[in-house]
Amino acid sequence: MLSFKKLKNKNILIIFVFLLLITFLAASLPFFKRTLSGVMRLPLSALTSIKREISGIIFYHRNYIQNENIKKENDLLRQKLNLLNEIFLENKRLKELFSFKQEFGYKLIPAQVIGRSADNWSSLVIINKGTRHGIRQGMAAVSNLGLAGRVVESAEAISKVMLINDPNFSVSCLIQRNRQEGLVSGALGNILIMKYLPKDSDIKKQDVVVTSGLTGAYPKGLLVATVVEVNNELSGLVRYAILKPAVNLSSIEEVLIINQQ
Amino acid sequence: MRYAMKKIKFGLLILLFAFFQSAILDYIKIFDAKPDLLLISVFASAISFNMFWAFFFGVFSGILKDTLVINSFGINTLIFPILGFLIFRLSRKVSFENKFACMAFIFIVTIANSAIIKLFFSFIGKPMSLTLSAFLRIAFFESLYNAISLPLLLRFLK
Repeated sequence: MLSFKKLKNKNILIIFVFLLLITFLAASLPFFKRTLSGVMRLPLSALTSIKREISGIIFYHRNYIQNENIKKENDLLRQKLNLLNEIFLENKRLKELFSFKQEFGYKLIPAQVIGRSADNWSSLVIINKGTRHGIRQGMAAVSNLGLAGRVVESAEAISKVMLINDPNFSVSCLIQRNRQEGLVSGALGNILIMKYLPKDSDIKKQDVVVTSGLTGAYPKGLLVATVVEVNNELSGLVRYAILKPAVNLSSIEEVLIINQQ
Repeated sequence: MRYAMKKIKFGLLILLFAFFQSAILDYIKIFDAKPDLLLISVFASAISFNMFWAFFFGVFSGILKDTLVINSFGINTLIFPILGFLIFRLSRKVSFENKFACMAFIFIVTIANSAIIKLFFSFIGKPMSLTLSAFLRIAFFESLYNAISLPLLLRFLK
């Protein structure tokens, strides 16, 4: 009887020690995550490359038609760009005339997406560039269509970008039309929510939402989303809007990291 | 020797599943949910090996999953070994030979896992800003997906 009790106490002690060990391991994991992330870069890149090649073969005809349409659009955009260049140069000359100083210069670091979040509760992409390429935590990530997210972790050769539809992501934005401010947060899927809108705010469907640049974390004027629906909160004191992101987050393959330094 | 090879093979499969889950599975999401191959691996290790290896593979799967998500705390490193241990203890009392019993069980385990993660982050002051309906939808479809994927994956893992 005594030996059974001793054995039971010993088992409880062993279980307690194991629980302590794994709690310690879980708490200290963020410190050696970077090394682990770096090790995963090569296999993730290889797997993503294979997937892309296979998709290219399977969707050959669709890609061909898309390519033709993009070429036509490209030609039209070149013409517009030429015109804008002329306007830019004229603007520069006029500003020099009035001795305005202009600050400019965001360095853009292109990166390829090599992986995504392993769970369903966060929305992130893993990119193939890291601190070695000048990427730091907190830098904004954009695509050619608008704001994509923010760098949250950066190892030597790999970084993690939290996408704008992650539930923990939020950015100060405003409605382009009337400069009404609000806070845009992610809600997973293809939805964003713009909160803290006054009850009498002038906001309607198809309104364009851009970054406000208030905190300095994101450049001002980056396209974020368009308004899909506007509703009242339960309290009835404020409104919220449901937005559709400008960037197709489920199929994003390249991002540009903005280095504002 | 054969038993040792089986463990090595199992470990390598878990590693492969981690890469698959990150690089490929996002493209077959249904209602924003994809199967959690690492959770399924924990279940398979608990019914295939002894308590120590169930625990070990739980820790291994948890570390891999935490490396591929954004968490300030290794919650999966904590939960997975405990789940492995509990499933192992349960497997000594309940038979998991029946395929449908396994599927029902992994369905419940996945929902419990999702609930624990949500409660944990609320507890540490970083609640997920998801509506209850969105949370339930994702948890339900992830559980369903895991239950459907389990019989196929058990063939590789056993």
